[in-house]
Amino acid sequence: MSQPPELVDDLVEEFLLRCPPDDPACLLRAALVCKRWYRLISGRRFRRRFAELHRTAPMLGFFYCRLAPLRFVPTTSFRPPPSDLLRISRALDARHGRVLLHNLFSCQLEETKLIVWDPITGGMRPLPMPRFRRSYTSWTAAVLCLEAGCDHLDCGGGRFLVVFVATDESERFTSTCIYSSENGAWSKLTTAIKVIDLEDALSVRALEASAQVVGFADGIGIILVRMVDAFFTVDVKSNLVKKIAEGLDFFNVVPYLSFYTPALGAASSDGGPRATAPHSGGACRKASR
Amino acid sequence: MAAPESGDGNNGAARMVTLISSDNTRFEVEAAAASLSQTLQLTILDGGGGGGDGIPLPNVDSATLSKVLEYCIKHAPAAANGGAPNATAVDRAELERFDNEFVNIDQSVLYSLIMAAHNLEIEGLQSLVAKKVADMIKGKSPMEIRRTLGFPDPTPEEQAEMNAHMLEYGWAYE
Repeated sequence: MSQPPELVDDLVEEFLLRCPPDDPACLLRAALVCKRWYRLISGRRFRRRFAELHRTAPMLGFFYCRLAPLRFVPTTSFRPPPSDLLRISRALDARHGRVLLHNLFSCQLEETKLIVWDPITGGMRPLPMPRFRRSYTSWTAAVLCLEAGCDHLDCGGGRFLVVFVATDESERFTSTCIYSSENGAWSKLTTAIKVIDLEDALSVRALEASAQVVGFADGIGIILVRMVDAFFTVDVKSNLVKKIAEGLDFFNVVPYLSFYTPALGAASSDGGPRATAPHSGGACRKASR
Repeated sequence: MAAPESGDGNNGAARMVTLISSDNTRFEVEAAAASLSQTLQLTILDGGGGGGDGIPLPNVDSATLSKVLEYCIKHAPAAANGGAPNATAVDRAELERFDNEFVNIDQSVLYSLIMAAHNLEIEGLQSLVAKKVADMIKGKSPMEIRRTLGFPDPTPEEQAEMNAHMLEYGWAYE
């Protein structure tokens, strides 16, 4: 077979962009064909165009806790890089390619209790827990994009917010504070009393009593449901049900949606490779192996 | 991609333009079909390509141009309807069947088409041929992709690098 005579990068890019986003291995294998393809695929420009063309990030899998370590159940060929983080954390939230982890090791410093992690690049950013005057009994947190007017197609390496919500012992006050990756600090507390009827908000009453909703993939209308000892995804639009895992004791189920474009270890310096940290600037280090 | 000659069909004979391939073959086609090319559309809107003039295409040989025009003629009616929002399912299925058949071709022809679609800026065709090449590399190992696309054999260094990546990214090879 004749080699594409002088298919310039633009043309190679055109067909590499058409690799299916729900089969990340396809793009990864293509990146390993030659240096030129690798530079192309691992660059920022390619990632941006790939996301623009396919629009909706696929669910690559979901994180869950089962006794100690955090596990990843893939729903595609994607596997996160091996990381010590998985051994010590539970997942609180994931959005736009970032995962918010809660470090469960009590001996660890307060400064690294929360971790924002990018399972594709392996980049991570630890943050301290916010300080509250009142002690709180239950809390959770979410990670959000900080860029104004962002289309969230390629903001995984940009600035982010972590929103922390806690309820105090009396269960009357709910406090919120916000961490900005830009300032590297938590905002002042805001306290509110608010009750949301979750049943109405999620309209999940139609589901059988034996089915338990354990997660929701924001933006693509997929809910994760547990029935007896098996896990299913339910596509809200098409009602398509897919069995994805079996077993008991799943909790803290966090779906992970992202476009996978390889960001291989030794990223080359030309072609504008992506940062390997889920933020721009500031302290960061690569997740240990 | 809207065709600019929407009025043509109502005024009797459709406007024709002549395209001249790099090897000097003349092709006469409806302006609406040729206008699927963003590059040609401007010339045609300016009134070019009519009469004895013809538009020279020095980068496209006659074999490739005839293939390109086959695509344009088939897709022109749908494009004239603004992407055919009211096309029937049968029409759409027919276009899909045509597209699948159309790219079922020798690799060297496919590459010529990629270049031509790019030079002539025919969006639908660019997307179609790119999809075809993507399908060709789907499910293949880096080595198989190299062979499929006619790359030379890797140097020992390249081979070592590929092996190292294979160990690191085992999931890509499952």
